Amino acid sequence: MSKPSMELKLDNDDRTFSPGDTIAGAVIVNAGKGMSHNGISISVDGSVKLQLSAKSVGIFEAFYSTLKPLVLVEKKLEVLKPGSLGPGVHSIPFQFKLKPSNGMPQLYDTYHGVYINVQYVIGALVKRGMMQKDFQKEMEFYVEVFAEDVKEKKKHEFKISPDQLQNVHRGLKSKIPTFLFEGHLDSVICDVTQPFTGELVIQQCSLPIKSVELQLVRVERCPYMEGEAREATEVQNIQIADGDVVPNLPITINMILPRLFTCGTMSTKNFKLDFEVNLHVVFVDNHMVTENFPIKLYRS
Amino acid sequence: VHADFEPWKVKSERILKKYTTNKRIAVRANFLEESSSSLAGDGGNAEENKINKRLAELKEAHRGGKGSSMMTQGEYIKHIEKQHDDLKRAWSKGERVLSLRIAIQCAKLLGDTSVPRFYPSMYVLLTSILTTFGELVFVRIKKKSEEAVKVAMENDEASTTSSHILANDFRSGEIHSTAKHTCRNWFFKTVCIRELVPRLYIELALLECNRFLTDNLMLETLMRIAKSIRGIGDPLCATYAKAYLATKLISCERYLLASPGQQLTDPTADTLNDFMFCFKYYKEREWKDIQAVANGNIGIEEYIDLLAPALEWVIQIVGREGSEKTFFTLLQQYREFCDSSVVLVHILSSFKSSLVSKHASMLTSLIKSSKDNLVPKARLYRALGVSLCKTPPPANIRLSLLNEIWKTATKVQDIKLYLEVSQVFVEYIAQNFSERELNIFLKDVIKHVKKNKEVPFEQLHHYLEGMVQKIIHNSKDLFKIVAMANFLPIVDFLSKQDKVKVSKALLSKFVNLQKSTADPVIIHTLFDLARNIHDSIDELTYGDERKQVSQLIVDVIRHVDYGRDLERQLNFFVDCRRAFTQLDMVTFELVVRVCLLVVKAYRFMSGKHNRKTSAFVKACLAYSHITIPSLDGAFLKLRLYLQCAQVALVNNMVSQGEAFLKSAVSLIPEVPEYDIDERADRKTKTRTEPEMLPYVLNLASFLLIFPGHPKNGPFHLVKGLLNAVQKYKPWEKPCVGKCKLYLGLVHLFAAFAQRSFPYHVTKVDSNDTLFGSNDVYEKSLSHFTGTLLTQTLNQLHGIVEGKEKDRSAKAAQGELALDLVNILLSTMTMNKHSATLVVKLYRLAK
Amino acid sequence: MQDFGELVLVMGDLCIPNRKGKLPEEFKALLVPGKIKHVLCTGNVCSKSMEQYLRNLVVGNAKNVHIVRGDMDDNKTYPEETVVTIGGFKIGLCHGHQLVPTAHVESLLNLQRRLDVDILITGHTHQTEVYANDQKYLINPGSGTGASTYNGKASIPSFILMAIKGNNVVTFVYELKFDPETNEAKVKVSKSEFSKEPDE
Repeated sequence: MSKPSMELKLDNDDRTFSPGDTIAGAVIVNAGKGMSHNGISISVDGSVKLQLSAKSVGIFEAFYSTLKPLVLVEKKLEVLKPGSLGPGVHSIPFQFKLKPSNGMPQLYDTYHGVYINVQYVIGALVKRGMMQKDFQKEMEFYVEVFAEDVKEKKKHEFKISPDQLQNVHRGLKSKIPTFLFEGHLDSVICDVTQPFTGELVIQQCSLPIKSVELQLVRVERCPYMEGEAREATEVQNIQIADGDVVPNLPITINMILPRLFTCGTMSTKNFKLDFEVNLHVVFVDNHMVTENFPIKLYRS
Repeated sequence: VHADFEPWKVKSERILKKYTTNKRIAVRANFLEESSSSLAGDGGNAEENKINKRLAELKEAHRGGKGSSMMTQGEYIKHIEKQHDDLKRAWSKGERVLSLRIAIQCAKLLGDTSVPRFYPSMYVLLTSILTTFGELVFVRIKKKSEEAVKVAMENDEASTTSSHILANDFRSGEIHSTAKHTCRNWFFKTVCIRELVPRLYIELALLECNRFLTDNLMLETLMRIAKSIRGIGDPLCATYAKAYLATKLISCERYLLASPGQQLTDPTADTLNDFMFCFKYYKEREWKDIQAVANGNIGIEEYIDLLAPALEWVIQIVGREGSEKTFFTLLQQYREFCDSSVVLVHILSSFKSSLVSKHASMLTSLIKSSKDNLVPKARLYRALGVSLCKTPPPANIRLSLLNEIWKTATKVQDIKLYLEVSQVFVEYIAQNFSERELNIFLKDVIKHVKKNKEVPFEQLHHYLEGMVQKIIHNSKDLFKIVAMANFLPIVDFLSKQDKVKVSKALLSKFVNLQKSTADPVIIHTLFDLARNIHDSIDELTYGDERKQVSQLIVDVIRHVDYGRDLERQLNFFVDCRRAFTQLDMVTFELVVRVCLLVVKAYRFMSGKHNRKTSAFVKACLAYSHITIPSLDGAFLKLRLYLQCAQVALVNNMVSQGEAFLKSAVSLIPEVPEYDIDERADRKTKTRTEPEMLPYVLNLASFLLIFPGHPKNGPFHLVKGLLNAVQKYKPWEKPCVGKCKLYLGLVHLFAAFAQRSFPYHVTKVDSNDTLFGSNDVYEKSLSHFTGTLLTQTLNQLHGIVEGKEKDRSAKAAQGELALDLVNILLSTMTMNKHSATLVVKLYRLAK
Repeated sequence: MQDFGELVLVMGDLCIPNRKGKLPEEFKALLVPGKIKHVLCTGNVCSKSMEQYLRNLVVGNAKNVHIVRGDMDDNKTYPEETVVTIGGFKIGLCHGHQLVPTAHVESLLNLQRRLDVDILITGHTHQTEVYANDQKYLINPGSGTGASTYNGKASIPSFILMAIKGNNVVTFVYELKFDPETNEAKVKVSKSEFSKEPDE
């Protein structure tokens, strides 16, 4: 018979829940030849943590020290009173409802950002007597918060031409190729479970194109002193055209938003999370034109 | 799917043979190491950095990279095969992430068109890996679901699910949530592959996995991917990606359900439209956008030819079930964007023949106006012709169509190309026009073949053979075909072997007509054809072939009928004997035919021959007498001798009849104990006795009515027979068969003893009339009967001699004895002598 | 429809294609597959295709086709003689060329005795015959194709259909006779009936 051990199992394989859902699972204890314990309990912790990235330590020192994690859920339940377990494997089931702790208005989507982290953890603890190490297991579970479906989706049309360019070095101005890119996004208000879609048409371009890419960027912001600390990071970069595409053939814009790295846009008094999409058109000479589209995400 | 649909497997083999290179191909040395960055971004670096790194990567990829090595084609193929093995190995070890990385790397290679001449082959090799990958994932998820359902069933006794095994056409509702979760994870990993080409290929490879999640989104997915392929700038790469989409569409076709209200369009047709749109763009710019063309590495035509296999495949799939609307849309686009023969030839050969035929005139003008020479016009016409043969075009345009097409086709200089088209149109003409048009057409063919100096004649044989076969196959009136001035000259062009093939086809066709002929020209032709096939037989020819040829010649002989002109018929048989010496079956048939000829003569003359017909009958009998010995099979000879003797007797030719009977009798001792057939596929060995017994009995029956000899006496033939059977190997000793024979002979003599024989041949005197109530005859008869009875008894005893314990011998003896009692009781008048005999026999029987 | 009992086709000496090209169309029209339950063939079928034709007549009753060997048959698997029971009758089947003297009533009765059958069917003569004597029946269907004989006698195409119901048999002789009035060949049918005393 193997050594005593403990495992934590959730009934739902993908470990994804929404507020109000019942989370059910079991603490599975292999008691070996039998063992006594001082109680078996489950703990649930959900919080928004604001961390600093190594790079930005200088700026945020003060900020960090002033902000405590925001506790969303904190729960502890005893699933088995102290006693002893006979030889073999025991499965001790548990279940509880997922809801915000008192005083918290709502839960947020699980999100792992650079310095914003919304994380939910479930832990199991088997307390054992003196001289013996407690069994402890933790696992993350994912929370998805649904919002009402946004009905008024609007097509967002765009046009990119040299005269709109900003940030161009003076010396390069004359070297800018003539081009006209047109297109649309089906909506800038997007359901995270649905792909981000649209169309791009190369109307005209005097220089061959090397690549067209969609860059999904998230922008985390915290009010800081009088102003605001802002950090933008790439979530993913998807190529939608490779090589010099034939003009006037509409290119599909289609990007699946990555799970866990995207979530509904958040705006609280403590922090803000926004997403943007950059459309990069890279020319053969490696110069690049970028169009930025702020987008609003929600989960339906 | 119609019959000409060339499966990908066949096509891919062709591609691998055709598209090769002697250039070196760049492959990244660190094949696997750099792949991790392709997977989902995990945040971290600022956007600027990321972009720069990406740019650096692109730059490096373009240069071939410093970390890459150059391989020859052979090395490259080995390298790819190794990837395939690695993938399978990684998978079997459960290393899913590694497997995915290998698959992504392979898909990435598909974005590399730096060695265009090899690209089609590369595509074949790499997609086969991707397809394997797709299957592995699919099977894995399916199994995962099955296992999970099984566990659930075991835990839940009230489960309503009947089996955990998923049927091939399972629905997403039957999939366990665990498996769905796994499936979703695969998809999430796929959609965030950064580069377009590998992402699309992996998505396609995993297409069927969509079935685990939903029942009706696969078509939508395909349509989306079809649109995404537009982002692939390189036309070679893009066209092949379209081909892979088509492959996947085909393989998942059964499961492509549309969700309610969804508008169905064929994603392959969409990609084809895109192709044509781009084609026009490149063509207008003289393909200068293609680097390899621009710097003169590859000609435009050759470059387009590289696209051809993918294009062919896509058009084949669009056309396969394509509606008239699809057909028209495609032609519309063809005209507007891409009037390239490469596209046209596949449109012609991929759509249903009924569509192509219906719009044949329009297509003909499209062919006429096609300007490039990538596919010669003759081939385009040929493709059109194939459809015309399958479905005839509207009647009112059949001739104008032919004239229009042949105006161009007859000018084709390349003889092979010319024959390729002719081969198709000869069928079209044979189907839709009379022999007159066909004859004119064949004249054109002959002219071309004769004019040809460049191509060795042997290389044309198979085209011509094909043509001849098609004429034969489609002919409504074989006789008219053979009579055409230009048909046999074409047959004469053929090689010896092909002539045999064609001769067989012609003769079979003739035989199947079930129509006899007396036309000397036709008979002459048939005879020549039959001789062709007869002469193709030699010692080495297989039994089946021999049989088939024999049967065909026999059938032909049966269909030659000069009616009342018996002399001519006999002459024909004489010619046949001379020509077809090698085949027993034919020789046998000839003798049978000649006998029937005699029967016919007998009928015509109502049994009274005049001098002329009597001479004719004699000639026929002589023919048989000469012919029979040339047969190999002993029983064939025996059968014919008896038959001829019967025919002779009916015609009152007693001496001829006797000659046949004597031949038969003297042949009996020569029949071996076993018949060994070496010509059969397996050597067979059969006993001859079971055949011999009924034969001899049959012969004996006939001897009853055959008149005795004035000098040699009434029974000299029977005596001869009795002597002969003793020398037949199996009958040297007493046996059941021999006893049965003797019993038969006892019967015979019982009949001989009657005043009037039970049957006669009309107008032929048998022994009853010739020797009736003649003392000598009576005496001879009773002497003979006595001897026969004694011998029969000896034989009866002989059966059990030395095998007293053999029950079956004893039983046979008993049965035979009882038979003899029966005979004696029913045929003999009882006297003391016979009564004793009967009692003895009766005891024996007990 | 009248219940005929089991229909038995008796046919033989087709000699196709040795002496005759094919079965008359008039017969083919009569012999519709599926109606006939048994085929008793007196031999000299002479070709595989004809054998197949006979077999096709009794769809689903493959075992009910019996063919004995004639003097011109090459197929060595056909037996010389066979006995079949249909309804209340024991029927013997033999081509007859091996009888001495051929097709003589005495010879046939001998064979009938030896085989111990109620009905003996033989061929060989190409002449139809329905002969009843002392509760024993001798039947000869003639030649199905009217193939030529070598004894000077004319042969016309013929076959026999037996309807067997228990101990009762009705035979129909079908012959294709040339009708001089219409100058056409016409199928003539003649009928006869026998019964057998029930076995004790």
